[in-house]
Amino acid sequence: MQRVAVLLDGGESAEVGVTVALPLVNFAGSELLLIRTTYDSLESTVPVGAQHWRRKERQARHYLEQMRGRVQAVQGVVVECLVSSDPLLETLKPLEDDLDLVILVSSGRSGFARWAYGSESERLMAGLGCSVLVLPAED
Amino acid sequence: MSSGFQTILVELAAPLQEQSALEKASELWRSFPEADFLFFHSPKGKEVVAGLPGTDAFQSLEQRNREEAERHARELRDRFPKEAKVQLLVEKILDPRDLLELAQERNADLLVLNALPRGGFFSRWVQGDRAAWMLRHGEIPVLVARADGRKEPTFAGVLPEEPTEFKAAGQTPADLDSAFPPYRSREHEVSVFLEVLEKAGPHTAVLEPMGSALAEALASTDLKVTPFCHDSLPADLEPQNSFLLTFSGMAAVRQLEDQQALLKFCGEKLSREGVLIADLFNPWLRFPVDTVVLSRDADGEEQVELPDGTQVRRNIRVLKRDYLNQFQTVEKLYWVDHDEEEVETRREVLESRFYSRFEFQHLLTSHNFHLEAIWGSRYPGEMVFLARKGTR
Repeated sequence: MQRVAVLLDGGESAEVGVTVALPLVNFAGSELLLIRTTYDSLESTVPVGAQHWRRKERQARHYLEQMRGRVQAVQGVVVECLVSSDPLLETLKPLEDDLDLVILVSSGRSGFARWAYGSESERLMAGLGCSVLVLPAED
Repeated sequence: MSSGFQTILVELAAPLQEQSALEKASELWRSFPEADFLFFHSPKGKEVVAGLPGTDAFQSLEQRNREEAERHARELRDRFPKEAKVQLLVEKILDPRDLLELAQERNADLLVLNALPRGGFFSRWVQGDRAAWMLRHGEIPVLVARADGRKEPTFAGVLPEEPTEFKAAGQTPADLDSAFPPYRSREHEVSVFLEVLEKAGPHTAVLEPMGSALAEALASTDLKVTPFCHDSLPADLEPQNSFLLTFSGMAAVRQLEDQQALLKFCGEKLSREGVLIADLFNPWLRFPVDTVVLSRDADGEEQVELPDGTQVRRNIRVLKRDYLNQFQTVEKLYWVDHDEEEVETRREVLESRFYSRFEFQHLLTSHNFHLEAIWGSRYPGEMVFLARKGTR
Protein backbone atom coordinates (compact mmCIF):
# COMPACT_ATOMS: atom_id res chain seq x y z
CA MET A 1 0.00 0.00 0.00
CA GLN A 2 1.27 3.44 -0.90
CA ARG A 3 -0.23 5.65 1.75
CA VAL A 4 -1.69 4.53 5.05
CA ALA A 5 -3.05 6.86 7.72
CA VAL A 6 -3.22 5.96 11.39
CA LEU A 7 -5.43 7.92 13.74
CA LEU A 8 -3.97 8.52 17.18
CA ASP A 9 -5.49 10.07 20.26
CA GLY A 10 -2.47 10.17 22.51
CA GLY A 11 -3.42 6.97 24.32
CA GLU A 12 -1.57 3.68 24.21
CA SER A 13 -4.48 1.67 22.86
CA ALA A 14 -4.61 3.73 19.65
CA GLU A 15 -0.92 3.06 19.05
CA VAL A 16 -1.80 -0.51 18.14
CA GLY A 17 -2.83 1.02 14.82
CA VAL A 18 0.79 1.95 14.12
CA THR A 19 1.93 -1.60 14.88
CA VAL A 20 -0.61 -2.94 12.42
CA ALA A 21 0.30 -0.36 9.79
CA LEU A 22 4.04 -1.01 9.74
CA PRO A 23 4.02 -4.25 7.70
CA LEU A 24 1.63 -2.61 5.25
CA VAL A 25 3.96 0.26 4.42
CA ASN A 26 7.13 -1.81 4.30
CA PHE A 27 7.66 -1.09 0.61
CA ALA A 28 9.63 1.41 -1.36
CA GLY A 29 7.64 4.56 -1.90
CA SER A 30 5.16 3.80 0.87
CA GLU A 31 4.24 6.44 3.34
CA LEU A 32 2.74 6.48 6.80
CA LEU A 33 0.62 9.40 7.89
CA LEU A 34 0.07 9.90 11.62
CA ILE A 35 -2.97 11.99 12.43
CA ARG A 36 -4.16 13.46 15.66
CA THR A 37 -7.04 15.85 16.11
CA THR A 38 -7.46 18.18 19.04
CA TYR A 39 -11.19 18.36 18.50
CA ASP A 40 -13.28 17.28 21.45
CA SER A 41 -17.03 17.03 21.10
CA LEU A 42 -17.59 17.97 24.75
CA GLU A 43 -15.17 20.91 24.77
CA SER A 44 -16.66 22.22 21.55
CA THR A 45 -19.94 22.88 23.38
CA VAL A 46 -18.45 25.02 26.17
CA PRO A 47 -16.45 28.24 25.89
CA VAL A 48 -12.77 27.46 26.15
CA GLY A 49 -10.02 30.04 25.71
CA ALA A 50 -7.74 30.14 22.71
CA GLN A 51 -4.81 29.42 24.98
CA HIS A 52 -6.32 26.05 25.79
CA TRP A 53 -6.48 25.08 22.12
CA ARG A 54 -2.94 26.25 21.50
CA ARG A 55 -1.71 24.13 24.37
CA LYS A 56 -3.58 21.12 23.09
CA GLU A 57 -2.16 21.60 19.63
CA ARG A 58 1.38 21.87 20.98
CA GLN A 59 0.91 18.68 22.98
CA ALA A 60 -0.51 16.87 19.97
CA ARG A 61 2.35 17.95 17.75
CA HIS A 62 4.90 16.93 20.34
CA TYR A 63 3.25 13.55 20.73
CA LEU A 64 3.21 12.90 16.99
CA GLU A 65 6.84 13.93 16.60
CA GLN A 66 7.79 11.46 19.32
CA MET A 67 5.81 8.77 17.60
CA ARG A 68 7.45 9.58 14.28
CA GLY A 69 10.86 9.16 15.92
CA ARG A 70 9.88 5.78 17.34
CA VAL A 71 8.55 4.52 14.02
CA GLN A 72 11.53 5.67 11.99
CA ALA A 73 13.88 4.05 14.47
CA VAL A 74 12.20 0.70 13.83
CA GLN A 75 11.57 1.01 10.14
CA GLY A 76 13.01 3.31 7.53
CA VAL A 77 9.65 4.43 6.31
CA VAL A 78 8.54 7.92 5.35
CA VAL A 79 6.37 9.28 8.14
CA GLU A 80 4.27 12.42 8.01
CA CYS A 81 2.36 14.03 10.85
CA LEU A 82 -0.85 15.98 10.78
CA VAL A 83 -2.49 17.84 13.66
CA SER A 84 -6.00 19.06 13.07
CA SER A 85 -8.56 20.92 15.14
CA ASP A 86 -11.49 19.49 13.16
CA PRO A 87 -13.45 16.31 13.83
CA LEU A 88 -11.92 13.20 12.31
CA LEU A 89 -14.24 12.88 9.36
CA GLU A 90 -13.75 16.50 8.34
CA THR A 91 -10.00 16.08 8.77
CA LEU A 92 -9.81 13.01 6.58
CA LYS A 93 -12.35 13.92 3.92
CA PRO A 94 -9.97 16.12 1.86
CA LEU A 95 -7.33 13.38 1.99
CA GLU A 96 -9.48 10.39 1.11
CA ASP A 97 -8.48 10.24 -2.56
CA ASP A 98 -4.82 9.94 -1.65
CA LEU A 99 -5.16 7.33 1.06
CA ASP A 100 -5.14 3.57 0.51
CA LEU A 101 -6.16 2.80 4.05
CA VAL A 102 -7.14 4.55 7.26
CA ILE A 103 -6.50 2.63 10.46
CA LEU A 104 -8.05 3.44 13.79
CA VAL A 105 -8.84 1.76 17.06
CA SER A 106 -12.50 1.99 18.00
CA SER A 107 -13.19 4.31 20.91
CA GLY A 108 -14.95 1.59 22.83
CA ARG A 109 -17.76 3.94 23.76
CA SER A 110 -20.89 2.22 24.91
CA GLY A 111 -24.22 3.04 26.51
CA PHE A 112 -24.87 6.71 27.11
CA ALA A 113 -21.58 7.90 25.64
CA ARG A 114 -22.31 6.13 22.35
CA TRP A 115 -25.82 7.54 22.31
CA ALA A 116 -24.58 11.06 23.06
CA TYR A 117 -21.51 11.24 20.85
CA GLY A 118 -22.01 8.41 18.39
CA SER A 119 -19.25 6.21 17.16
CA GLU A 120 -16.36 7.84 15.37
CA SER A 121 -15.39 4.61 13.66
CA GLU A 122 -18.90 4.10 12.29
CA ARG A 123 -18.92 7.65 11.00
CA LEU A 124 -15.65 7.09 9.20
CA MET A 125 -16.66 3.74 7.76
CA ALA A 126 -19.82 5.24 6.33
CA GLY A 127 -18.49 8.63 5.33
CA LEU A 128 -15.03 8.10 3.91
CA GLY A 129 -14.36 7.26 0.30
CA CYS A 130 -11.32 5.13 1.04
CA SER A 131 -10.79 1.83 2.82
CA VAL A 132 -11.02 1.87 6.60
CA LEU A 133 -9.64 -0.69 9.04
CA VAL A 134 -11.13 -0.55 12.52
CA LEU A 135 -9.38 -2.42 15.28
CA PRO A 136 -11.44 -3.25 18.33
CA ALA A 137 -10.42 -1.47 21.52
CA GLU A 138 -8.63 -3.77 23.90
CA ASP A 139 -9.98 -3.91 27.44
CA MET B 1 -2.44 -7.42 19.28
CA SER B 2 0.34 -8.72 17.09
CA SER B 3 1.31 -6.73 14.04
CA GLY B 4 0.55 -9.53 11.59
CA PHE B 5 -2.62 -11.24 10.52
CA GLN B 6 -2.70 -15.02 10.25
CA THR B 7 -6.19 -15.77 9.05
CA ILE B 8 -7.93 -13.26 6.86
CA LEU B 9 -11.56 -13.68 5.96
CA VAL B 10 -12.35 -11.92 2.67
CA GLU B 11 -15.79 -11.23 1.24
CA LEU B 12 -16.24 -11.88 -2.47
CA ALA B 13 -18.71 -9.59 -4.13
CA ALA B 14 -21.42 -10.61 -6.54
CA PRO B 15 -20.55 -10.80 -10.23
CA LEU B 16 -20.09 -7.41 -11.89
CA GLN B 17 -19.57 -5.61 -8.62
CA GLU B 18 -16.24 -4.11 -7.84
CA GLN B 19 -14.16 -6.67 -5.99
CA SER B 20 -12.69 -4.10 -3.65
CA ALA B 21 -12.25 -6.56 -0.75
CA LEU B 22 -10.42 -8.97 -3.05
CA GLU B 23 -8.18 -6.19 -4.31
CA LYS B 24 -7.40 -5.08 -0.79
CA ALA B 25 -6.71 -8.68 0.20
CA SER B 26 -4.22 -8.93 -2.63
CA GLU B 27 -2.37 -5.93 -1.16
CA LEU B 28 -2.50 -7.53 2.28
CA TRP B 29 -0.98 -10.68 0.86
CA ARG B 30 2.11 -8.71 -0.15
CA SER B 31 2.57 -7.77 3.52
CA PHE B 32 1.45 -11.09 4.98
CA PRO B 33 2.45 -13.79 2.47
CA GLU B 34 2.15 -16.54 5.07
CA ALA B 35 -1.42 -15.70 6.06
CA ASP B 36 -4.32 -18.00 5.27
CA PHE B 37 -6.92 -16.28 3.13
CA LEU B 38 -10.47 -17.53 3.42
CA PHE B 39 -12.62 -16.22 0.60
CA PHE B 40 -16.27 -16.43 1.43
CA HIS B 41 -19.10 -15.92 -0.97
CA SER B 42 -22.76 -16.04 -0.12
CA PRO B 43 -25.16 -17.51 -2.66
CA LYS B 44 -27.73 -14.96 -3.73
CA GLY B 45 -29.70 -15.17 -0.51
CA LYS B 46 -30.64 -11.58 -0.97
CA GLU B 47 -32.39 -12.48 -4.20
CA VAL B 48 -34.98 -14.16 -2.04
CA VAL B 49 -36.32 -11.15 -0.25
CA ALA B 50 -38.73 -13.29 1.68
CA GLY B 51 -40.48 -16.53 1.12
CA LEU B 52 -41.41 -19.90 2.39
CA PRO B 53 -38.67 -22.46 2.00
CA GLY B 54 -39.94 -25.86 1.03
CA THR B 55 -41.60 -25.10 -2.27
CA ASP B 56 -39.94 -26.75 -5.25
CA ALA B 57 -39.35 -23.47 -6.99
CA PHE B 58 -37.64 -22.07 -3.92
CA GLN B 59 -35.34 -25.08 -3.52
CA SER B 60 -34.47 -25.15 -7.17
CA LEU B 61 -33.54 -21.48 -7.04
CA GLU B 62 -31.45 -22.06 -3.93
CA GLN B 63 -29.55 -24.88 -5.61
CA ARG B 64 -28.93 -22.85 -8.73
CA ASN B 65 -27.71 -19.89 -6.71
CA ARG B 66 -25.29 -22.07 -4.74
CA GLU B 67 -23.80 -23.55 -7.89
CA GLU B 68 -23.44 -20.12 -9.39
CA ALA B 69 -21.75 -18.84 -6.23
CA GLU B 70 -19.28 -21.73 -6.23
CA ARG B 71 -18.38 -21.13 -9.85
CA HIS B 72 -17.99 -17.42 -9.23
CA ALA B 73 -15.72 -18.01 -6.21
CA ARG B 74 -13.47 -20.32 -8.27
CA GLU B 75 -13.18 -17.70 -10.99
CA LEU B 76 -12.19 -15.03 -8.51
CA ARG B 77 -9.63 -17.31 -6.90
CA ASP B 78 -7.84 -17.39 -10.25
CA ARG B 79 -7.47 -13.63 -10.10
CA PHE B 80 -5.59 -13.84 -6.82
CA PRO B 81 -1.82 -14.57 -6.61
CA LYS B 82 -1.26 -18.29 -7.19
CA GLU B 83 1.27 -18.55 -4.35
CA ALA B 84 -1.21 -17.38 -1.73
CA LYS B 85 -2.85 -19.88 0.61
CA VAL B 86 -6.50 -19.57 -0.23
CA GLN B 87 -9.54 -21.53 0.81
CA LEU B 88 -12.97 -20.97 -0.74
CA LEU B 89 -16.08 -20.98 1.40
CA VAL B 90 -19.57 -20.75 -0.01
CA GLU B 91 -21.77 -19.99 2.95
CA LYS B 92 -25.18 -18.45 3.21
CA ILE B 93 -24.65 -15.17 5.04
CA LEU B 94 -27.97 -13.57 5.77
CA ASP B 95 -27.01 -11.14 8.51
CA PRO B 96 -23.97 -10.00 10.50
CA ARG B 97 -24.53 -12.76 13.06
CA ASP B 98 -23.77 -15.39 10.42
CA LEU B 99 -20.69 -13.45 9.46
CA LEU B 100 -19.42 -13.26 13.03
CA GLU B 101 -20.13 -16.94 13.54
CA LEU B 102 -18.14 -17.78 10.43
CA ALA B 103 -15.24 -15.58 11.53
CA GLN B 104 -15.16 -17.17 14.98
CA GLU B 105 -15.50 -20.68 13.62
CA ARG B 106 -12.49 -20.12 11.36
CA ASN B 107 -10.45 -18.20 13.96
CA ALA B 108 -10.14 -15.28 11.61
CA ASP B 109 -8.18 -12.32 12.93
CA LEU B 110 -9.21 -9.91 10.18
CA LEU B 111 -12.41 -9.53 8.24
CA VAL B 112 -12.32 -7.72 4.89
CA LEU B 113 -15.70 -6.55 3.63
CA ASN B 114 -16.71 -4.81 0.43
CA ALA B 115 -17.92 -1.30 0.97
CA LEU B 116 -21.44 -0.78 -0.20
CA PRO B 117 -22.05 2.17 -2.48
CA ARG B 118 -22.56 5.37 -0.60
CA GLY B 119 -25.02 7.98 -1.63
CA GLY B 120 -27.46 8.78 1.09
CA PHE B 121 -28.86 7.98 4.44
CA PHE B 122 -30.10 4.54 3.49
CA SER B 123 -26.82 3.25 2.13
CA ARG B 124 -24.99 4.64 5.12
CA TRP B 125 -27.43 2.90 7.36
CA VAL B 126 -26.89 -0.43 5.60
CA GLN B 127 -23.13 0.00 5.46
CA GLY B 128 -22.82 1.20 9.03
CA ASP B 129 -25.13 -1.47 10.27
CA ARG B 130 -23.16 -4.41 8.93
CA ALA B 131 -19.61 -3.42 9.79
CA ALA B 132 -20.57 -1.62 12.99
CA TRP B 133 -22.47 -4.61 14.23
CA MET B 134 -19.35 -6.70 13.77
CA LEU B 135 -17.32 -4.21 15.75
CA ARG B 136 -19.79 -4.03 18.59
CA HIS B 137 -20.38 -7.72 18.94
CA GLY B 138 -17.11 -9.28 17.91
CA GLU B 139 -13.56 -8.61 18.77
CA ILE B 140 -12.29 -8.93 15.28
CA PRO B 141 -10.75 -6.11 13.24
CA VAL B 142 -12.90 -5.10 10.28
CA LEU B 143 -11.56 -3.63 7.07
CA VAL B 144 -14.18 -1.97 4.90
CA ALA B 145 -12.60 -1.95 1.45
CA ARG B 146 -13.37 0.63 -1.18
CA ALA B 147 -12.15 0.40 -4.72
CA ASP B 148 -9.41 2.69 -5.86
CA GLY B 149 -10.63 5.56 -7.90
CA ARG B 150 -13.49 6.09 -5.47
CA LYS B 151 -15.96 6.47 -8.24
CA GLU B 152 -19.38 6.58 -6.69
CA PRO B 153 -22.44 5.67 -8.72
CA THR B 154 -25.08 8.29 -9.11
CA PHE B 155 -28.07 7.83 -6.90
CA ALA B 156 -31.01 7.63 -9.25
CA GLY B 157 -33.20 9.53 -6.81
CA VAL B 158 -31.42 12.70 -7.89
CA LEU B 159 -33.09 14.01 -10.96
CA PRO B 160 -30.89 14.18 -14.03
CA GLU B 161 -30.90 17.12 -16.32
CA GLU B 162 -33.63 17.63 -18.87
CA PRO B 163 -33.81 14.70 -21.26
CA THR B 164 -32.08 15.22 -24.54
CA GLU B 165 -34.21 15.31 -27.64
CA PHE B 166 -33.49 12.58 -30.12
CA LYS B 167 -34.27 12.37 -33.75
CA ALA B 168 -36.63 9.46 -33.31
CA ALA B 169 -38.38 10.76 -30.20
CA GLY B 170 -42.06 10.02 -30.19
CA GLN B 171 -41.81 6.33 -30.96
CA THR B 172 -44.43 4.33 -29.16
CA PRO B 173 -43.62 1.28 -27.04
CA ALA B 174 -45.34 -0.86 -29.67
CA ASP B 175 -43.02 0.50 -32.36
CA LEU B 176 -40.05 -0.30 -30.23
CA ASP B 177 -41.24 -3.79 -29.42
CA SER B 178 -41.74 -4.62 -33.05
CA ALA B 179 -38.47 -2.98 -34.03
CA PHE B 180 -36.42 -4.75 -31.42
CA PRO B 181 -37.33 -8.33 -30.78
CA PRO B 182 -35.44 -10.11 -28.01
CA TYR B 183 -33.13 -7.51 -26.60
CA ARG B 184 -33.26 -8.56 -22.99
CA SER B 185 -31.48 -11.37 -21.28
CA ARG B 186 -33.73 -12.23 -18.43
CA GLU B 187 -33.28 -15.98 -18.64
CA HIS B 188 -33.04 -16.29 -14.92
CA GLU B 189 -36.36 -14.72 -14.06
CA VAL B 190 -38.05 -16.26 -17.05
CA SER B 191 -36.94 -19.75 -16.12
CA VAL B 192 -38.30 -19.30 -12.62
CA PHE B 193 -41.62 -18.10 -13.99
CA LEU B 194 -41.82 -20.98 -16.44
CA GLU B 195 -41.07 -23.57 -13.83
CA VAL B 196 -43.94 -22.38 -11.67
CA LEU B 197 -46.35 -21.88 -14.55
CA GLU B 198 -45.71 -25.28 -16.07
CA LYS B 199 -46.26 -26.97 -12.76
CA ALA B 200 -49.53 -25.11 -12.22
CA GLY B 201 -51.12 -26.42 -15.42
CA PRO B 202 -51.56 -25.64 -19.11
CA HIS B 203 -53.77 -22.53 -18.94
CA THR B 204 -51.94 -19.31 -18.25
CA ALA B 205 -53.26 -15.79 -18.60
CA VAL B 206 -50.73 -13.01 -18.93
CA LEU B 207 -51.30 -9.37 -18.21
CA GLU B 208 -49.94 -7.51 -21.21
CA PRO B 209 -47.60 -6.25 -22.45
CA MET B 210 -45.27 -9.21 -22.37
CA GLY B 211 -41.56 -8.73 -22.43
CA SER B 212 -40.18 -10.20 -25.61
CA ALA B 213 -37.90 -12.68 -23.84
CA LEU B 214 -40.84 -13.91 -21.82
CA ALA B 215 -43.11 -14.09 -24.85
CA GLU B 216 -40.54 -16.15 -26.68
CA ALA B 217 -40.03 -18.47 -23.73
CA LEU B 218 -43.77 -18.97 -23.34
CA ALA B 219 -44.13 -19.76 -27.04
CA SER B 220 -41.68 -22.61 -26.68
CA THR B 221 -43.78 -24.36 -24.02
CA ASP B 222 -47.00 -26.35 -24.16
CA LEU B 223 -48.78 -23.67 -22.18
CA LYS B 224 -51.93 -22.14 -23.61
CA VAL B 225 -51.21 -18.48 -23.08
CA THR B 226 -53.99 -15.89 -23.09
CA PRO B 227 -52.95 -12.25 -22.98
CA PHE B 228 -55.30 -9.72 -21.43
CA CYS B 229 -55.34 -6.04 -20.46
CA HIS B 230 -56.06 -4.65 -17.02
CA ASP B 231 -58.53 -2.13 -18.44
CA SER B 232 -60.54 -4.64 -20.45
CA LEU B 233 -60.76 -7.79 -18.39
CA PRO B 234 -62.32 -10.58 -20.51
CA ALA B 235 -65.44 -11.70 -18.67
CA ASP B 236 -65.66 -14.92 -20.69
CA LEU B 237 -62.15 -16.13 -19.92
CA GLU B 238 -62.14 -19.85 -19.18
CA PRO B 239 -60.69 -21.02 -15.83
CA GLN B 240 -56.93 -20.58 -15.72
CA ASN B 241 -54.28 -22.50 -13.84
CA SER B 242 -52.13 -19.44 -13.42
CA PHE B 243 -51.98 -15.71 -13.91
CA LEU B 244 -48.80 -13.90 -14.73
CA LEU B 245 -48.91 -10.18 -14.01
CA THR B 246 -45.84 -8.83 -15.74
CA PHE B 247 -43.68 -5.95 -14.64
CA SER B 248 -44.78 -3.51 -17.29
CA GLY B 249 -48.37 -4.73 -17.03
CA MET B 250 -48.50 -4.07 -13.29
CA ALA B 251 -46.77 -0.72 -13.66
CA ALA B 252 -49.78 0.44 -15.66
CA VAL B 253 -52.31 -0.47 -12.95
CA ARG B 254 -52.15 2.77 -11.03
CA GLN B 255 -55.41 3.14 -9.12
CA LEU B 256 -56.42 1.14 -6.08
CA GLU B 257 -59.79 0.35 -7.65
CA ASP B 258 -58.05 -1.10 -10.70
CA GLN B 259 -55.73 -3.16 -8.56
CA GLN B 260 -58.66 -4.56 -6.61
CA ALA B 261 -60.63 -5.29 -9.76
CA LEU B 262 -57.63 -7.06 -11.27
CA LEU B 263 -57.04 -9.29 -8.26
CA LYS B 264 -60.74 -10.03 -7.92
CA PHE B 265 -60.80 -11.04 -11.58
CA CYS B 266 -57.74 -13.28 -11.17
CA GLY B 267 -59.30 -14.91 -8.11
CA GLU B 268 -62.56 -15.59 -9.93
CA LYS B 269 -60.90 -16.98 -13.03
CA LEU B 270 -58.27 -19.06 -11.30
CA SER B 271 -58.83 -22.75 -10.80
CA ARG B 272 -58.66 -24.19 -7.29
CA GLU B 273 -55.21 -23.58 -5.83
CA GLY B 274 -54.09 -21.82 -8.99
CA VAL B 275 -51.02 -19.60 -8.81
CA LEU B 276 -50.54 -15.94 -9.41
CA ILE B 277 -47.16 -14.41 -10.19
CA ALA B 278 -46.85 -10.66 -9.97
CA ASP B 279 -43.75 -8.75 -10.94
CA LEU B 280 -43.53 -5.45 -9.09
CA PHE B 281 -41.10 -2.69 -8.38
CA ASN B 282 -40.14 -0.75 -5.28
CA PRO B 283 -37.32 1.81 -5.53
CA TRP B 284 -36.59 1.62 -1.82
CA LEU B 285 -35.33 -1.91 -2.28
CA ARG B 286 -32.47 -0.96 -4.52
CA PHE B 287 -29.76 -1.60 -1.96
CA PRO B 288 -30.91 -4.78 -0.24
CA VAL B 289 -31.84 -6.49 -3.44
CA ASP B 290 -28.92 -5.79 -5.65
CA THR B 291 -26.29 -3.11 -5.48
CA VAL B 292 -24.92 -4.11 -8.87
CA VAL B 293 -27.53 -2.09 -10.60
CA LEU B 294 -26.38 1.15 -9.08
CA SER B 295 -23.30 1.13 -11.20
CA ARG B 296 -25.42 0.27 -14.18
CA ASP B 297 -27.45 3.40 -13.50
CA ALA B 298 -24.30 5.45 -13.63
CA ASP B 299 -22.87 4.40 -16.90
CA GLY B 300 -23.81 0.82 -17.64
CA GLU B 301 -25.70 -0.14 -20.72
CA GLU B 302 -27.36 -3.31 -21.72
CA GLN B 303 -26.19 -4.54 -25.08
CA VAL B 304 -27.58 -7.28 -27.24
CA GLU B 305 -27.22 -8.47 -30.75
CA LEU B 306 -30.35 -8.91 -32.83
CA PRO B 307 -30.66 -11.98 -35.05
CA ASP B 308 -29.67 -9.89 -38.10
CA GLY B 309 -26.47 -8.83 -36.38
CA THR B 310 -27.61 -5.32 -35.45
CA GLN B 311 -26.21 -4.16 -32.15
CA VAL B 312 -28.67 -2.53 -29.77
CA ARG B 313 -27.67 -0.80 -26.58
CA ARG B 314 -30.18 0.27 -24.00
CA ASN B 315 -29.98 2.47 -20.96
CA ILE B 316 -32.61 3.55 -18.50
CA ARG B 317 -32.84 6.59 -16.32
CA VAL B 318 -35.40 7.91 -13.90
CA LEU B 319 -36.67 11.33 -14.92
CA LYS B 320 -39.08 11.88 -12.07
CA ARG B 321 -40.01 9.98 -8.98
CA ASP B 322 -43.07 10.75 -6.89
CA TYR B 323 -42.73 8.85 -3.65
CA LEU B 324 -46.04 10.04 -2.23
CA ASN B 325 -48.13 8.78 -5.10
CA GLN B 326 -45.75 5.93 -5.82
CA PHE B 327 -45.04 6.41 -9.46
CA GLN B 328 -42.03 7.34 -11.50
CA THR B 329 -41.28 8.48 -14.99
CA VAL B 330 -38.66 6.41 -16.71
CA GLU B 331 -36.82 7.15 -19.88
CA LYS B 332 -35.50 4.30 -21.95
CA LEU B 333 -32.86 5.10 -24.50
CA TYR B 334 -31.97 2.77 -27.34
CA TRP B 335 -28.98 3.09 -29.62
CA VAL B 336 -29.07 0.97 -32.72
CA ASP B 337 -25.76 0.53 -34.53
CA HIS B 338 -26.82 -0.01 -38.15
CA ASP B 339 -23.24 0.16 -39.28
CA GLU B 340 -20.10 1.89 -38.18
CA GLU B 341 -21.28 5.20 -39.56
CA GLU B 342 -24.90 5.40 -38.51
CA VAL B 343 -26.21 5.09 -34.98
CA GLU B 344 -29.93 5.53 -34.59
CA THR B 345 -31.23 6.73 -31.23
CA ARG B 346 -34.69 6.06 -29.99
CA ARG B 347 -36.35 7.21 -26.85
CA GLU B 348 -39.30 5.90 -24.90
CA VAL B 349 -40.80 7.57 -21.84
CA LEU B 350 -43.20 5.74 -19.60
CA GLU B 351 -44.79 6.19 -16.23
CA SER B 352 -44.87 3.27 -13.87
CA ARG B 353 -46.55 2.60 -10.57
CA PHE B 354 -44.52 1.12 -7.76
CA TYR B 355 -45.59 -0.88 -4.77
CA SER B 356 -44.42 -1.60 -1.28
CA ARG B 357 -44.02 -5.20 -0.18
CA PHE B 358 -46.74 -5.15 2.50
CA GLU B 359 -49.10 -3.08 0.42
CA PHE B 360 -49.21 -5.79 -2.18
CA GLN B 361 -49.22 -8.61 0.35
CA HIS B 362 -52.21 -6.95 1.99
CA LEU B 363 -53.96 -6.72 -1.38
CA LEU B 364 -53.29 -10.39 -2.03
CA THR B 365 -54.49 -11.50 1.39
CA SER B 366 -57.68 -9.46 1.16
CA HIS B 367 -58.42 -11.19 -2.16
CA ASN B 368 -57.98 -14.69 -0.77
CA PHE B 369 -54.43 -15.34 -1.96
CA HIS B 370 -51.75 -16.93 0.19
CA LEU B 371 -48.29 -15.56 -0.37
CA GLU B 372 -45.78 -18.35 -0.94
CA ALA B 373 -42.62 -16.49 -1.84
CA ILE B 374 -41.16 -13.19 -2.90
CA TRP B 375 -38.12 -13.01 -5.11
CA GLY B 376 -35.92 -10.12 -5.99
CA SER B 377 -33.85 -10.02 -9.12
CA ARG B 378 -30.87 -8.36 -10.67
CA TYR B 379 -33.03 -5.35 -11.44
CA PRO B 380 -33.17 -2.75 -8.66
CA GLY B 381 -36.15 -3.04 -6.39
CA GLU B 382 -37.88 -5.69 -8.46
CA MET B 383 -40.06 -8.04 -6.43
CA VAL B 384 -41.68 -11.14 -7.82
CA PHE B 385 -44.61 -12.37 -5.73
CA LEU B 386 -45.77 -15.95 -5.92
CA ALA B 387 -49.22 -16.40 -4.39
CA ARG B 388 -51.71 -19.27 -4.42
CA LYS B 389 -55.48 -18.99 -4.46
CA GLY B 390 -56.98 -19.84 -1.06
CA THR B 391 -59.60 -22.50 -0.56
CA ARG B 392 -62.33 -20.37 1.03
